Amino acid sequence: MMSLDLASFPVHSARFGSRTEYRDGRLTIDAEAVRRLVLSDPRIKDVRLELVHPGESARVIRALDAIEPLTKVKGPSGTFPGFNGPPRTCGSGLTHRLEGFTVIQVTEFPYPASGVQAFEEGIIEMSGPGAAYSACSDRVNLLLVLTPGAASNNLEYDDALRRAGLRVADDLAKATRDLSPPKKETFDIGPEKPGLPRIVWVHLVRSQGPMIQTFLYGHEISGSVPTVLHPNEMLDGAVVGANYKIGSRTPTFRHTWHPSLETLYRRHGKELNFAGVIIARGHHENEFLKERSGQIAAQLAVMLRANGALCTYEATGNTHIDFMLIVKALEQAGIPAGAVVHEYGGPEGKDISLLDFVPEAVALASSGGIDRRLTLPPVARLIGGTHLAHRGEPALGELNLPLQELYAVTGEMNMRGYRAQEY
Amino acid sequence: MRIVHYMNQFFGGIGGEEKADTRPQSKAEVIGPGRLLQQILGRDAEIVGTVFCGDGLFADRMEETAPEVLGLIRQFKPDVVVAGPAFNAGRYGLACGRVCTDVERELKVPAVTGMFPENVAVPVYGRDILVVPTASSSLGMKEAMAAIARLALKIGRAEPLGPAAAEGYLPRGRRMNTRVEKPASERALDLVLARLAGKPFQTEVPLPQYEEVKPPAPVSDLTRVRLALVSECGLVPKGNPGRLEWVRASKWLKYSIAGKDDLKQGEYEVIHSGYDAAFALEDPDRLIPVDAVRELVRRGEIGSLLDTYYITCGNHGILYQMAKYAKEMAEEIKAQDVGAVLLVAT
Amino acid sequence: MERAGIPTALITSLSSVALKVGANRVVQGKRFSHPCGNPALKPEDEKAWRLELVRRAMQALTTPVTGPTLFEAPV
Repeated sequence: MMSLDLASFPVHSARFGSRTEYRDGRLTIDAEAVRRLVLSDPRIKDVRLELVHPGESARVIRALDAIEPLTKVKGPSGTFPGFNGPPRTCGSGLTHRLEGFTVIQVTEFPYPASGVQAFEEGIIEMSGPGAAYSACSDRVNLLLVLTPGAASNNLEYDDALRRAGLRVADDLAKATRDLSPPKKETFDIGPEKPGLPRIVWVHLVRSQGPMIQTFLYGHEISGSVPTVLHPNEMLDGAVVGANYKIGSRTPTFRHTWHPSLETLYRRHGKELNFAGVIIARGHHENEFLKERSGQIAAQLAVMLRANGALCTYEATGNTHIDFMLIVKALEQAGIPAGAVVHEYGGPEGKDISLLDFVPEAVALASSGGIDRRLTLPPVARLIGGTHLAHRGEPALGELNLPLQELYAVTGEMNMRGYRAQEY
Repeated sequence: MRIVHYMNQFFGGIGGEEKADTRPQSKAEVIGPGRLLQQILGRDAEIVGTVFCGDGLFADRMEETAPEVLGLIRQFKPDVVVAGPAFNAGRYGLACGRVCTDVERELKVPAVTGMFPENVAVPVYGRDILVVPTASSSLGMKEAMAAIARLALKIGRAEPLGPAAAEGYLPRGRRMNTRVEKPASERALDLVLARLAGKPFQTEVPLPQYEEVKPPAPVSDLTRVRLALVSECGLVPKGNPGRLEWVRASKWLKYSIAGKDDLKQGEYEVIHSGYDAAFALEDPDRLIPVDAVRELVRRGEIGSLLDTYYITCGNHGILYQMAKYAKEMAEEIKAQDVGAVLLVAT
Repeated sequence: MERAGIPTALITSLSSVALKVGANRVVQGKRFSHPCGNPALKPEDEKAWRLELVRRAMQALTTPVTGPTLFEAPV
């Protein structure tokens, strides 16, 4: 059985210096070394490094993925397998992570994209009222502000920037290789504890083509049917996020540390047996494929002898249907599901909350309404551009927007305990 | 804190059903159930006046009576207005509902009332005013007044109200965000474990009930009907002259298809970020089937095609706004002698 | 549209959603990026298919229904 030791090195602040080094919560970054690492790929022409800290009057736009640095210190395979190293099963041995730190690519795509491929902002807001909903506002973030180079299309550029971000993440985490961690936890679902219910985590991820997709062991998952992972594979970065669509995206650091995984592992052996993770893609093109996926996911849960399922999903639009069909299939297979849903409801919460539902969805937890609006004050520092990509509004000054436009907002509202209630 | 109490003729001590047409009147006194209310309020607030009116009169002649009642209330310069409680009395409930609505809107003073949840006034006024759920009869007066008093003090002090379930008022159909201690994933897991243990559980998101719309009678003679094409697919002439938004559209538009036998590649674009536009750009008839409809008109199977198509973008459309656009489109379409609509959704 | 009394046929690929929200005459469309399109077919065949699809929608308009009803797509 897989056992992973996760050694955490919390980062409270970061700065640039002559050598990359971690000491007492502070990360010093050799900017030149990072630049060389990024620019080793000619598809990227230039990079500027910026650091933003919690509480700063700073706003980041054109933010793509956010990665918490992980490196494999001992044991088979590596972290982010399929990108940093061959696609070999990860999740055991010793991994070091820079906790509370993220590497974020900030860039525009060089070629035009329309319809569903069009980029929609997920704004990172480091202070003020938006910080309560924006992921990364409570983290120290290294921004790789990129200029596209010799990439022949957006897909190529996307590949380049993803690999660059993951390379940098691994390199920075390596600074802790020989250090003794302030915190080390062992993740091992071990032999089953008799008498406790077996619970699976069903995780529905986005897959709608370039810039709106998810990777598993280095390959995108559009052609996949639902599959099973050991939770430790998630911790080591088997799933990498490449979804840059609006605020309901799941960045990589949320896949490697998800509130569902956290709660299941914490309660494992006490109230439940964590039976595994079922990963499925959403946004299937038609009803037939949606239903098919829901059935296969539920059957995997049956094969894992699950008694219950904790279900979460990413994204917007018709994937609500995919998700509800999974819930329906689970319930009909005799596996009660508890599902986290984000709600709509319009700006005042008077409109309908759910885009889709099934009568079997009787146990829903709300992560809050993302249609409610917020006014963000002007900021002192704006990184990533001058105007919002999808609305053209100047981004430095006051902004009035729906929560949906904040970075990774659905996962953040989940983590921070938001919910919608009747008033 | 100054409180004005509104009640009907019965609780005002005038009489029963035979006095249901009692004209609005006021007294600078605490009357009837107001005594219980004042007792509970203690020194925190003072009932400075009571206004009462016959249920029958108020319900039958609401437009004239309501302003009169409001005027009497206004004279006492209240900080808070309490109406009822009306329990399950329908006309009394409607009066209380109207009084509270007027007080809040015209006097800008907070108001609270109490009613049995199935009172007919609840669907009418319940979304806009604060209603404490009560028993169906005045046997529940003590509990009702206790809850009303607590809320009256809260709104009088302009303290923020918590969620309906926590504060003890009927939900007003507003779902607002609040923060609780546990992450949603944790709470979802709690729900699963409760279900597996056979324990009671409660969903945080009740499932919507969609209103049933009776299907219109079928078209009796297709060969004589005028058909209109409507869609939310965001197909607009190239250049998007109407500036349709690709998400959360704020408008609907219409464009001429006069003289067009089909929609040509290159003349249209797709403003919708919820699906891949490539197929539609190749042949816009794949979204709005002008070519097929024209062919059926030519063959005499359909009477005629309206020379205008109606369009909006349904991507993340706010439901009540989309309903508004549909209503407006329907009105315009009907005025053009259209007998049937072909609606295409992506 | 229906509330205004106009008989309406809805062509959509997400028929289950349409039926659930109460649309009364629902015609099964192809994938949602082209509900009235079938790009797998040759252009002349696709035009013929679309004609048949719209005919089905017309059929739905002339059929009395009592509640949400699904009309299948042509093959």
